[in-house]
Amino acid sequence: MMEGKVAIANRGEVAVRIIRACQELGLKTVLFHSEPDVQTLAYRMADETFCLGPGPSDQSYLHQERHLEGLKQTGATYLHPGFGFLSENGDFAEKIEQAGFTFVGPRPETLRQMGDKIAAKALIENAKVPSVPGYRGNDQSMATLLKKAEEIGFPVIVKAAAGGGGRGMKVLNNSQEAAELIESAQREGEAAFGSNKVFLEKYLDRARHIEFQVFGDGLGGAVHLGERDCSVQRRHQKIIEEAPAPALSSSLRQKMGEAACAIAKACHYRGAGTVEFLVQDDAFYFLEMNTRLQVEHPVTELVYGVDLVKAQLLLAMGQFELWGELSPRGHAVECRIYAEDSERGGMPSTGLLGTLKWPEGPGRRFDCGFEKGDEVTSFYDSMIAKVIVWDETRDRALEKMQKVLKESIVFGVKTNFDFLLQILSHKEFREATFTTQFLSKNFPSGPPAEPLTEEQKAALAALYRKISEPEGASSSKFSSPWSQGWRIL
Amino acid sequence: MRKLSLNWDGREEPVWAEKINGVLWVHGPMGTLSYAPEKKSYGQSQSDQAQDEIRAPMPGKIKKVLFEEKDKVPAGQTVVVMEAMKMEFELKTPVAAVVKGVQCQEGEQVNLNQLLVRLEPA
Repeated sequence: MMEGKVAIANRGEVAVRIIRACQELGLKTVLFHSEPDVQTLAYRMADETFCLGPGPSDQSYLHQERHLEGLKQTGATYLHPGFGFLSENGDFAEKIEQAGFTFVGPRPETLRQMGDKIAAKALIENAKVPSVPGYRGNDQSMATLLKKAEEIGFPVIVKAAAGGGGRGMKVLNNSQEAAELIESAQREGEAAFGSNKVFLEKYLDRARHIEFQVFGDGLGGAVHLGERDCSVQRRHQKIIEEAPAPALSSSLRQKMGEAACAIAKACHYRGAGTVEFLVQDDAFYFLEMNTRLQVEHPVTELVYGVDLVKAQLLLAMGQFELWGELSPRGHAVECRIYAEDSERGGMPSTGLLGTLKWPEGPGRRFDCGFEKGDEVTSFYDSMIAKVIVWDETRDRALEKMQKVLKESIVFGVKTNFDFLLQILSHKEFREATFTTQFLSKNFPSGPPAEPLTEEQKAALAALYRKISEPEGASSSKFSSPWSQGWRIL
Repeated sequence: MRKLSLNWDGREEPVWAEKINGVLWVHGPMGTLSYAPEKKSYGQSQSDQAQDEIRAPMPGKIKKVLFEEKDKVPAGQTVVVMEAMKMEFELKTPVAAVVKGVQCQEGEQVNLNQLLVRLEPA
């Protein structure tokens, strides 16, 4: 058992994930939360809580000074930022460390270097890792951006320079729509990361998104824990991830793993990180490095039998040694559960949650941050849970996932379970021939809408009347012997 | 949550059902469905969207209003950009129209179904 108190500066399922790891290590926890997030599982699980501020992120989860106040008030000595929010903010990490606390993550200078995609690409080029052609200049005038887009040749992708996780990314298919989409990416970058700087690059239109999990000891030692295929994306937001990548040659896997380690070693990387690549026609290109725990880290944990969050905490406490032998076993798949109306292009769905039921069993993992009676608000990301399964082969893992998704129940908000099932049974997905274009090609406007028939509506109306009656009041088809002449006094 | 039976496409199917804030939620072999009397139920397409107005399809923040009163707008043009759950959504004209009135402001937090723009189909 260890001693110490860890501040968890995050919310939802990842806050729960970190709290559990701390509890298993015997560490005390204090959750830094926003006002509406008192109605979440993490709030109920933490030993202590500290309110950062109101719902909007800039007044709570992005408010740096409030985090420092929280550390001072609660006596926590470590801060785990989870992912998103301030997790990749070098200035924030520096403030934490300068005030004498420990940031559970890479060093501030690493966050800055990798967070500025332009500086990151310079490091990557020095390490002789290939990257995608593009424009990363400081001249951010619309005229220059439009000219550069033409030079690179459409399709071109525009990204927020400080971005990640799909925010502020748009694909420009032609010069007509370019200006409007660039402006939109600038606005999203400004809102999400406080910077409207963007860069452009060649959009690879039949690539797979394959990323390598790395872990560094901060002293120049680093290992990789294999790859994840995250090609099933919509608007650059990942939906399904799996490990290992189903259609990656062993020679390419080896080269990419070596490249990922070279990058981690070059920056004396500290802790968990992910090197993202695009793979097209047997060539790979560096995309970006995410300097934090990744949403889809569980698939790696299941095939490698490791606990990445505990490893992060142990490293922060100076009690970690890099793993020696590492080899994957079996196959793991993760489905992200979004509170959304999939048939309406993934429109967010908010509301009060009713029953949540997860069909537990061997090789099944459910990472969820909500319980019945909690509310899904419009302040934050719409991902409410992750369903992860492991089995000995990909086919078995996919069968298991379908079964699990069919049996999972989430009442109160619309979710993407049906959409996930349609993807899982799609031929291209089963045969692992998909690219990042899979969803836009096969489900351009989400899953097909299936309007209810009049008979179905009538059946639901009948059920609605029945459930509106008090329980037990409806005339039962059978009569209980206990109901005849007996009543509880 | 109660275990009940639902007549679905001619068969009695066992379902889990629960009523939350006046909405019935059902889970069974047909997947998850929600139903409320008079309100739009799960699976409604956008084709029945009103042609003379744009309403907020979700609670969120108005990021940008691209047209002003009296502007002529072609069909399928983005009129309002909204943000919710850290995503931008573009609200487009259902048909070619003239803007009759803008009922929201940039930066405003709006509720589900709130009237944002009144249109006159051209």
